[in-house]
Amino acid sequence: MKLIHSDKRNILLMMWIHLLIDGISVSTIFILGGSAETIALAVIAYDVLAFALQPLIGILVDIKKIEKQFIILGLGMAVLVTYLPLPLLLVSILIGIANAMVHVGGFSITYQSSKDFMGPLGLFVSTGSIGLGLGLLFPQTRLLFFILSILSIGLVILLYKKMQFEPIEAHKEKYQFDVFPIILVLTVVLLRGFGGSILPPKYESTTISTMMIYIALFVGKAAGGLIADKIGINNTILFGFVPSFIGFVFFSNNQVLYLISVILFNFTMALTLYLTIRALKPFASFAFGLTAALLFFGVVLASGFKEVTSVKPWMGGIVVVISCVLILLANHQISKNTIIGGTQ
Amino acid sequence: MFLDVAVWPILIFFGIVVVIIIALIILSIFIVIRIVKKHQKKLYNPPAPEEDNWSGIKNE
Repeated sequence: MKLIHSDKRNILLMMWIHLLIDGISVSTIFILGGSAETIALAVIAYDVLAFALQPLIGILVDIKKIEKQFIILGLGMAVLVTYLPLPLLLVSILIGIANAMVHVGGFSITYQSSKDFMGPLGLFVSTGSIGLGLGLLFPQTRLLFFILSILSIGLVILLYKKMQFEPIEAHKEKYQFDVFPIILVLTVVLLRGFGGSILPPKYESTTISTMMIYIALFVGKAAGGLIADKIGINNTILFGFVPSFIGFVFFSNNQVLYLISVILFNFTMALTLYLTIRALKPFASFAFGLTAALLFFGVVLASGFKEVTSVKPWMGGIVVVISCVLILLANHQISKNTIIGGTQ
Repeated sequence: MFLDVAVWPILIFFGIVVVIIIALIILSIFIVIRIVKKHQKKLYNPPAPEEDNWSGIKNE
């Protein structure tokens, strides 16, 4: 089965919306500013709501099919809050909720347009890194994000009736529900959040070099799904993990090799998302939300871990190796539980 | 480091954040488990493919 014109249009539009919501959210919080404590509190409130609310919103989207409404409402809310004279903490809370709604809504439309390919999933998650990087490093882009978001809300309203979906092929398969592969794949997601945060580069950090990391994240997430569609999940994991292990452990002081390692390590983003969806079907949006929440939980654990101990490159290596083994095992288990065509 | 008084507020705040995240994740998992238990047959045994319906009609 191939992607048709309307599928590609939906996926491109959702990638764009993902970039905008992350850009407008982060640029708004960072341009408002305040004391160090206020900013820290605002960022934490935003992150907790934006990530940890996604599983609950995902359940709503799976049951009520209100993804388009959530995108319009969420992006509209973010646009409204951007220039209102509200306290920073309140802005962060409102933008965090708006961000979660748009993420889950955007993912749901992407997934329903994906025809069960992994490429679109990776493409959707990838653009958030660019929005995040631009908003964080160049908060003055807020006005640009504001204007583009208003135009994009109009575009979504214009295409509202054209975004109709047929049930995708994977839903016609019988699946033996099993908790074990879910735990395996979600552990990999948690470890990626944790590992990504305890593996900072050893070279000198500048605005350009930080933006390069966000671009590497974008490339890795986008390429992972597309490559997996061509060469399969297991080959992509081995092709991505083994060189990234070497890069993180032995060459984290070399900018080029570090960036290549970031790209390769993030190949798994689309794969873990795809495997979680298959293991948790028919709750695709909940699966997406759960991976987002656990990824963030991994980041929070890593920040606590860094407070109590000094991080060594070999720790990152261990995270990469464990992730590699778990994801291969999860893929094997999920494939075993899927009975194609509904026949035993 | 742990015994340093200045670290405690940070750790308590960090703990609260962790508890909120875990609570939200567990709540969502609990809701999904309830839905799955209620509708298990319908969710994991999709209707037969269309061809079967046609053969049924032909047999009639």
